[in-house]
Amino acid sequence: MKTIYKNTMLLLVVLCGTLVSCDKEFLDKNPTDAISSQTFWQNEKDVAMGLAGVYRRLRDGFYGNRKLWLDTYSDNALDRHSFYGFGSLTQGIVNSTNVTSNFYNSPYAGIASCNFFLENADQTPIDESTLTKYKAEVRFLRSMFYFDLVQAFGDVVLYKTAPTSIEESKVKQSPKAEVLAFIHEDLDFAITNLPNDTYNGHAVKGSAQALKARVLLFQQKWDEAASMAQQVMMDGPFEIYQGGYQNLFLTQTQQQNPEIIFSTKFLSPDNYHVGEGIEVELGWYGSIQPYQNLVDDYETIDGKEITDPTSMFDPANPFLNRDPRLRMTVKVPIDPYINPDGSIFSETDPLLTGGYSQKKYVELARLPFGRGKINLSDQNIVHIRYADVLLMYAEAKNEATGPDATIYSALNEIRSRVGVNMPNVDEGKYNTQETLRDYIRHERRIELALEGFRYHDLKRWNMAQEKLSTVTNPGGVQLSFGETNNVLPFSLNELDKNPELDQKEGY
Amino acid sequence: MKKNRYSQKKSENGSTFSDREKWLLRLNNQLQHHKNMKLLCNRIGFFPIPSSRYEKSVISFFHTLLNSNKNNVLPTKLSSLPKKGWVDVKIDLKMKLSVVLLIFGTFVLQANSTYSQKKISLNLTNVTIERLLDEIESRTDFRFIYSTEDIDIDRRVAVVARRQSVDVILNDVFAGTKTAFSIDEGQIFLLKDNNKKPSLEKILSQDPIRIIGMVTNNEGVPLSGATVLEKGTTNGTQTDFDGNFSISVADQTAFLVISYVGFATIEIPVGSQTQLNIILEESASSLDEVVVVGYGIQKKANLSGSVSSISGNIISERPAPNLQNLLQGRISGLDIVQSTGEPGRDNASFNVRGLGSFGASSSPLILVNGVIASIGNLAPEDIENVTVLKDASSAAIYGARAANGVILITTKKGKAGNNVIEYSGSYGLSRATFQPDLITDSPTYMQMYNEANIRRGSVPIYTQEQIDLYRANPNSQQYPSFDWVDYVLGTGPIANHRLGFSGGTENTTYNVSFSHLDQEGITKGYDYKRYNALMDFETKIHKRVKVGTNINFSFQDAVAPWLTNDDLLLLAFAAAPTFQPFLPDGSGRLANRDFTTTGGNNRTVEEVYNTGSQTTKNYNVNAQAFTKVDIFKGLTWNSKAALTFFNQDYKNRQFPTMSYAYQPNESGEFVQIANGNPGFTGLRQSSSRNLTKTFYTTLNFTKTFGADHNFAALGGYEQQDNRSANLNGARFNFPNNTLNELNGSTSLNQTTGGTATEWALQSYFGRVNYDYKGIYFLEGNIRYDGTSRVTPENRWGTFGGGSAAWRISKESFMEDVDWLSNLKLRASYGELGNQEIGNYPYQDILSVSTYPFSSLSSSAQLTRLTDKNLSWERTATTDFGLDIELFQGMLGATVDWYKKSTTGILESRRDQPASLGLSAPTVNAGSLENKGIELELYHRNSIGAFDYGANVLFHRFRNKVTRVLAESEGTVEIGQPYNNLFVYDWIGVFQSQDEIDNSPTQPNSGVLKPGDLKIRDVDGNGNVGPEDRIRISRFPDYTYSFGLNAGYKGLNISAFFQGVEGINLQVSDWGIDPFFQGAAPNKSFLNAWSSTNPSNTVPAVYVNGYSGVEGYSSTYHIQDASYLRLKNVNISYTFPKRILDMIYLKGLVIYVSGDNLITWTNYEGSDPERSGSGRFAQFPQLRIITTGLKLKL
Repeated sequence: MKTIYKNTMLLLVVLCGTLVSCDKEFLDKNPTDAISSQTFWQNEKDVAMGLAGVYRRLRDGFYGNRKLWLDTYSDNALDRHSFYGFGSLTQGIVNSTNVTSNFYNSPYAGIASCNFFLENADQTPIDESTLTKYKAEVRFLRSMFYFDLVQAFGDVVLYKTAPTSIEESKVKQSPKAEVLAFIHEDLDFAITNLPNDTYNGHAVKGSAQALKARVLLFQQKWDEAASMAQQVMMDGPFEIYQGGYQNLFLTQTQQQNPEIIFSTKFLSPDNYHVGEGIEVELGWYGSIQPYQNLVDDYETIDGKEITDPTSMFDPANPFLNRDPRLRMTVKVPIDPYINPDGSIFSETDPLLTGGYSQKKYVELARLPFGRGKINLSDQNIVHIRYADVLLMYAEAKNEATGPDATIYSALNEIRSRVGVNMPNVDEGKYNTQETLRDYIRHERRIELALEGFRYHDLKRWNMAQEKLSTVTNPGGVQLSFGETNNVLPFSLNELDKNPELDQKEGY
Repeated sequence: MKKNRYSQKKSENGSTFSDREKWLLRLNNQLQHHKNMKLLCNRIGFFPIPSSRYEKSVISFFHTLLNSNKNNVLPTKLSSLPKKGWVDVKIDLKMKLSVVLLIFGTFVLQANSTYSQKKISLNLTNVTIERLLDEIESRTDFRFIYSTEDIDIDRRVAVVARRQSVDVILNDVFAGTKTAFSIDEGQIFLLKDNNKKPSLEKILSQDPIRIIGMVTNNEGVPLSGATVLEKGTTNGTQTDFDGNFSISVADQTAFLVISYVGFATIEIPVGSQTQLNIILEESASSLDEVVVVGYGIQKKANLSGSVSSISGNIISERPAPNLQNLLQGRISGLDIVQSTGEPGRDNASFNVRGLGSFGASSSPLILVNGVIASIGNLAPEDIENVTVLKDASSAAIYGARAANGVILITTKKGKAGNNVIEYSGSYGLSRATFQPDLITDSPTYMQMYNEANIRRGSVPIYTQEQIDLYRANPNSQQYPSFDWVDYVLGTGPIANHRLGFSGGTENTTYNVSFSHLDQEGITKGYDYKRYNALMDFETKIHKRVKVGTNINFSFQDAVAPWLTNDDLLLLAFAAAPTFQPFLPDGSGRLANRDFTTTGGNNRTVEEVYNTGSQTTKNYNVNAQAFTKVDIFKGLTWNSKAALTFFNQDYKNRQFPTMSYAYQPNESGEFVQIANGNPGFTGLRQSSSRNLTKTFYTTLNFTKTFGADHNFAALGGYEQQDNRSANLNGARFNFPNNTLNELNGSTSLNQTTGGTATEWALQSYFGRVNYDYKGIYFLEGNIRYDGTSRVTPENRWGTFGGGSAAWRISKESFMEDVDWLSNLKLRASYGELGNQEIGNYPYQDILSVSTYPFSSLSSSAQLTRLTDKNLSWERTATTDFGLDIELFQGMLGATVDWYKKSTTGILESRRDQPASLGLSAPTVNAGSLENKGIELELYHRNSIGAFDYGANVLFHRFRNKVTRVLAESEGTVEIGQPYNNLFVYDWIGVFQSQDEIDNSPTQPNSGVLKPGDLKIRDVDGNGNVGPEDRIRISRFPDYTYSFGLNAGYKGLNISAFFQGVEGINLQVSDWGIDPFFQGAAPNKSFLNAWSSTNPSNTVPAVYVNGYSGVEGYSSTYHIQDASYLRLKNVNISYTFPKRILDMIYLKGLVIYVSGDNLITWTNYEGSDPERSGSGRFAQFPQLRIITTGLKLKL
């Protein structure tokens, strides 16, 4: 009997010993169906996923397909269904409650992603150069997010590293100059460490250089801007795309396109547009309605303004003999959409049959439009293209040194694109800094129309009020742009949540 | 040879009995025939110190009798029996009877001094000694006198005797046993063989003696750890693992006091005995009850925390399909709401002492035999007892899981020496408790519907022509007035069977049972079957080592319509009385609505029945293995390993079925207008598995220092881990309706999904108990928990509590207060955690998606800021309690006051700036407080053969939000109960335009008409605005229950009432708002306001959404759902032993039971016992009438 007891005790002790988990990891339980940062950052694949996660932020707000609406906060077009309330904003009614949060939330969401990547990727044991390249991409993106904030708000909250708590996130806005300095830091790092390759979805050296040029232009550092743009022109692999202006904005021809320097990429069926997509929202709902003012700004094919009595403009056939880019950008009333079977895409919306709507970016191969096509809508949204670089160069160079041949040549390169074939710039007519400035600005409006650049350009040129006041909306109200509206107000909600924040002057 | 010699010797020995001994034995024998006294005598043979009033009375009678007959022979100590307490008590009827019997019996005995000796013939095989002796008694004039203590009367023997004398027969029967007999004047004394049997005179000698003995329960199970104490001294010992003890006492006048948790303490005069077999009776007084506490048991009298328990016998006295329902109203402070009577879907919600959290789960921790398991899987009859640890001190041993209380469920074990086969079966019929009274007269319905629409400014639904058709052909097949609710609610049978085997030997006990429940719903489409198997086995493999297992398996097979509960019932409400489920042509085709022109796209209930069903199969196993090792006296080591496995297979199959308008078109054809409206067409299937592994081990130490300092300590370790996974898939477009597996269809558009979660918990815990003389008690519990749900840095937390009690009634100054059997004050404080905060709340969970660079790449991004310090919610509870018991348990009460404060309730922060770029973290922010009072009262008594009892429970608490990140006006405010209703105060119906014009401006003034609701201007400023809304708590004023029971000679009747007072519910939609999706109005709308009927209580009949009534939330939709309900009446008859003997049964009880028989409430039209506010339509509660029997073999 005694042995039974001894043996039992011995076994029990051993058994308990084995059952009791001395394993320190016993309490380490991590999600099995989601990635936890506890278990992430193990290898290069994780870092690549983290990087893609930062890029994915580009789908949101004015980085994705909604970017095109930015033109409706300008003299180019009307936010017809008031997606963003730009109807009020373009009447000078701007306050802390009616500005869309997309100006603010999306870039900050992007910045949070960038900071999260930059602060965590280091712990992964991977090849140093790969990691540096990835970090350069992320810093490029971070500079872009911050730059958009600066363009919209001026002084903004600057997080060089991610706040680890809500309390830490409640800080005062930093002066614009400080944010811009930080942007340049990021951009310089990106320029140094990104490959000088063609663009295929990942930011490349040219992307960072072009963005830096844009920032410098914004800062009116003309020399530097010109030289930065010139670097892209001289050293970069980019060029004007000769496969058709309209095809710059269609999925198929956007791939490996030599003109696109940076874009937000979409690809159905996994990555289609947010909302209902461009075809439905622009092609079918006509959500962006270009103003006559924009249409009128297109030259006739002989390179003259339509107000010029010597031009080929025919008021009876106003869309004849016009800069071909007009009808590649704007759907005009005489321009029915033809279904693949040859029938006319039937429209009941008077706007789409009798008014203007946006055609740029709309994939007509997907006719007839309908909500069933939503998940096919996947055009990449172009943020920087070579034509823009040429325009920036022209603008900066002209501001810096006045007209010269390189400026004309840059403009002519754009105008002579196959399929556009507009005559060269009239060097005699635009031979002073002032006249050329106007012409460059005009060319910039036309070339980049309805791509989401006009609003920031107008503010940069301080011409928003001047230009908007020439436009009346379909309700007959004349547009206007308030003096203080060059920077947007912080939202009331944000001021409530971050008491450190000071409201912008004038709001 | 041997036999004869043995017999001879015994006969000689027989003569050594003194007259006095013989006389006592005779008396004893007489007492054997009395049920209660038999137990008494069994205990030791003679003269125990009585423990009950009744026994005291009998002993007193003895005492008197003996003293009058034989002076000075009783042990002197016996005469010091307490006289107070029983002398004054009126001798009841039962008592009188036994006295008469005793006297009579004694006289008979005394008179019967001659006997005839004759030879008898016997041919008995496999009979007990008891039967044999009965047989001999019946054939001869001999009377046997013996103590069942000494003689194994259950031993089975075979006797074949042909004309033999009794002594020869007995010689054979007792050969080789330790039983001797002695024949003396017609009485045969059976005695334990003891050559040195001392005479009673010798008993009185003063020699110090050593006594050995054994303590068992009345079923022969040794009680280890029982305390044996020489009365009035510090000389004491404890029984060993086998219940044995040895003790030296001063002399034969000494008394031994034997006590054991859960058993009545007895005192025994040592007298001449040197070997004592002591049988302890399980305690009848609640004070001696043993209560299961965390990792152990505790005598109720010694509790210092707030712990309530209920025995399984009381729970399962009443047949009900669901254990949770049976617990309702049984434990003060435990509020249970069962919201539906759906078979297999009737799980109830539990709250211990108010609402403990609004951010995480506020359900208590439920443990079955010490291990996490689901309460819904148990068969009620397998339950031994249920304990609720309510205060933080008692629950502290469960640390981070115990904040909302702990419910400990113990299943039945076998008892040694008592092999029983039990069968119980019942059959019941269930019906809905309530049925609404709707306007089902079609012309009235149509007319009112039209009026209501016109009132709203809409077009009438029915044409005059249509109404006329119904009016001209009342109640015809073609133009019916059909009561859909009545059609839908029917009778559901419930059958329950259980077969149990339990028992064991000294070393091994077992309990094996199997039960089966088969319940159909009160509507079509439900069929629920539950199978339960329980196996409990425990064996002693060494005198100090016990091993055992407990396996609980259940399988639930539930079929239900694909729409259930309110989703199903609302269809019955929504259907117009103007049509029936099937077309009037008798073709059996389904009807969808009355006319093609009537709008809406609702289904009918019958369409639901005919478009598919859902099946849930649950498999549960709770398998445990344990060891108990007695390392040395006072130190035991218990370990348990357990697996709790849950598997669910779920299928939802739907398909279309054609349905038609009830009224044919102009050409007499029935037009198909719907396809039965299935939710989808196909099969959705899911499978989930959940496994919890638990291991715990404890060391338990008890020691008494001196005589008065009782000390116990427990230390333990526990670990648990869980993985729960599921897999689901769906396919659509099956070629026919009978295919019911995914492979029956193509993979086109199929969907799949699956996930898994894990958690783990590791804990160290301990408890210390100390008491001084059973008067002052101190207890401390502590637990150190580490959880996977909190970040590694903050993962470990300490929880603990302490309690103290003062049992005033045991104080020496209270010794003379005999009527007060217990008075105890208790106080406790503790702090506990609630770790039901999600599985990975502190982790940065990355959203996984893709981004298309040149090719599609996986992406991961952070979208939420997490609070790395996120931790369990904490609840601190202060408890003061008072226990009182009067007149040996005749009357008792327990009162507890508590204050329970929960802090760190999970809340999502709302103040994150958008610049953070991430969504807000969940943080430990909110606080709640619950203060309450619990009261338990009981009374039990017997008057002769009639005994009765009553008990009352009461619970009242006040809930208050004490901290919240952001208040929301009216609903969540600091200082107010959580989640108030915040509505306008409806005060009547506008009678005229004048009244409208002269009343304070109403919220939707301008559109108001006479007949619309009138709202009170609370602030009296002449304008009813949002500020005039009033706050109404969702919590009841109090809950209560009471039970009455009475028994007379095997006939028992009990009634159990349960109620909730002062609860307000906001109910709306089908069944209460007229014409909600066409739902017929309640008959109260026959009295609706109209220009000719100026009602001030019922507004003019309206259609849902009508702004004059439903333009805003008002008290119009709030109902007082207070109720008092006769939950159960049970009438049972327990057959007496003499009948049972005839039919060879050990026990037989037959009963009739009724559930939810009467309800007193102001709640209109439906059952007030429901899951809270929301849709009025709910699956009703059940009124069940059951008959059944319980038999023991």
